[in-house]
Amino acid sequence: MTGKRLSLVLLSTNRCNAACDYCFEDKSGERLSLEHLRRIVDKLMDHLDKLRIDALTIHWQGGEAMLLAPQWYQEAFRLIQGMAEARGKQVDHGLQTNMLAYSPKWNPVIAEMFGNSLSTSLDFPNLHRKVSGRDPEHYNAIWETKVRMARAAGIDVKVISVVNQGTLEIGAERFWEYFVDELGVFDFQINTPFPGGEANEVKRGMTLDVAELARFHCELADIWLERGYLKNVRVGPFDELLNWFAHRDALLPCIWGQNCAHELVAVDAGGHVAQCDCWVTSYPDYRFGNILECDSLTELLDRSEARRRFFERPVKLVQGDCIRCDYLALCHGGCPVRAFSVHGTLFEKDPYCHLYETLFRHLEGRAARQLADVSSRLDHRQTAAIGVSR
Amino acid sequence: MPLSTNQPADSIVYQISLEQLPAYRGRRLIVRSTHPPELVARFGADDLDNLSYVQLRSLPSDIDRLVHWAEGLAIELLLENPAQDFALLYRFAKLLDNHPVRVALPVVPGFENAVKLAWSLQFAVSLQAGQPAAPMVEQMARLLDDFLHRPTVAAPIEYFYSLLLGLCHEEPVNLWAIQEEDPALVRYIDDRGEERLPGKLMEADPGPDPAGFVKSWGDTLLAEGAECAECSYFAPCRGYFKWPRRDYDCAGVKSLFHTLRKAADELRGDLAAVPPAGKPHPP
Repeated sequence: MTGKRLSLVLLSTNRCNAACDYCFEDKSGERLSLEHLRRIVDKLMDHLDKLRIDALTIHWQGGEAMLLAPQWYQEAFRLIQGMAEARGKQVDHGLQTNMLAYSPKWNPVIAEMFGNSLSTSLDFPNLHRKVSGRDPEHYNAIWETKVRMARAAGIDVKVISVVNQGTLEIGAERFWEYFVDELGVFDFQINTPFPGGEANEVKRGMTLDVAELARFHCELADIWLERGYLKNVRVGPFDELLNWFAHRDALLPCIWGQNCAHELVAVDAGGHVAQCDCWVTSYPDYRFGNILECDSLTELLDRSEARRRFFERPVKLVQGDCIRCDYLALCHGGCPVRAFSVHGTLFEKDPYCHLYETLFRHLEGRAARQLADVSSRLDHRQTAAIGVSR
Repeated sequence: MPLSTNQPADSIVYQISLEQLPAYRGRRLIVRSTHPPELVARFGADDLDNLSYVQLRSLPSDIDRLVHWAEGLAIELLLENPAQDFALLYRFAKLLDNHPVRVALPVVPGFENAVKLAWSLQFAVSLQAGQPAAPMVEQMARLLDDFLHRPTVAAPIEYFYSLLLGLCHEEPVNLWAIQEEDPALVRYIDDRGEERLPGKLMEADPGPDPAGFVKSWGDTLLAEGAECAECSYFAPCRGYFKWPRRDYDCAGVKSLFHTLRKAADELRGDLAAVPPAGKPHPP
């Protein structure tokens, strides 16, 4: 793990109150105790010391993170802050939740621990998210109610939306209208589906036409640039890609970059350690070990044969056709779990390669036009100035 | 890791092996090694003051101790077999967190992929150009185009980078110096302790005035009426591409110079169009 900040995906519970058909997590009933949390954080602080990293971001999720009480998070927050301060570390927290269990009781801890912000998920149209025994409309109704409540309390609600076949059929225009104009969501991220975890009928049928998916992404990016960009609407990954191509600071999603194994690690409620939430919940053979059963997280990671394969992945991929790609510097073969869930091996590139390449090229062009527009405005001002001076 | 072209004689940089460190303490040094743990063990804090950079040879595997050692010190990775070893660059990317890292590699078949991966990982690159054959010049031309125009290329590629800056700012540049092969700046101490000229001059006779080699070589070529006499790029090149074979056909490398000069002219024009810092834009 390199860099000056480490990201930890921490699953406070492996339980969930939803029963989404396409979920990549294989659930269990485990929940994290404060005592186990103390032991985990202690080893994390040792690990940060060894790597000389001073900052940690904990991304809390589940299962469903809100199945533990807000009081539990308040105690967890104080525990972590106390341990971090004693070790001279800075810890930030993020929350990913389906919001089904949200109530105003959560407001104080969301304000104190999560900076009055959270991230939730909804697809449009919603085909797969539901509560057990109910249909997606029921889920939508609860979700929209809870989101309105949270917004009314001043909470900034971000949304992750997974594209499905229905999304491609309604198109980018309708998708934008739903999230921005109807729901008033001004910060959302588009994710691609993948058949992670135990196979089922929905996962077997969730493969999308990648060319269609690419067209949808490019159209949505254009709509965002025309209607949202200057109004501070943020749509991931377009916003950060535009920054990247315009030579501004950019925080790219974990599917891209040199290797997610450098920057990210996940721990589930039972203490299992793996590359991310999908790996830790669904692919036991790819776990790195258990943080509650080891003396040192650093040694656990260094000795893990499974983790070594994550580091070897780009070394292998770049000897294939990735080296010929114009966007190798951005992508490095894409997401390991997307590759694994489709191909059954880490040593294949991301199945959405064509989507990424198309989107990169599209936003590279838009960034160049944006820079040219700025340059043109500058030229215009100077021409005007010359005219005045004459 | 530029070495200044205006150094007094006593500030020549000596490229030595790690074993020669005790004999060269107090001099300005580049230290080469194949064993990173020994670098960490043998260097004292005072030694770092005179160290330009360390060169890692043979792509050693045990680099973990270098990550937090002498943070800020530049490291050069010598990629001797780029076609075979380029993918291993991934293993060295973690050094970039705390060190400027440059990949040095010969312009031989397979080098293009290595350069591409190097810049994709944000390594700086130094091309050991030598006297490149026509197919290698074609690959250099493609890389130069990427370097000049592709937003995914952010790290400097030498000699393109320094030459572009020099031409853009209309400052004197010397390809021998950019390539760290000017004997006025660098000397190579071989493993037997003998002082040699650097880089591709390694086998050359140092003569009585090794520091004057570049001027002497250029004067010789001009006096002979060689291709250099009518070359518009002689000033930055100074006969670099005519060593060791004087009959080397420079047509290919001249096209690279031409591309760089054109880009430098455009860049200079663009910079001139930007208002000086601190002055507000006119309304």
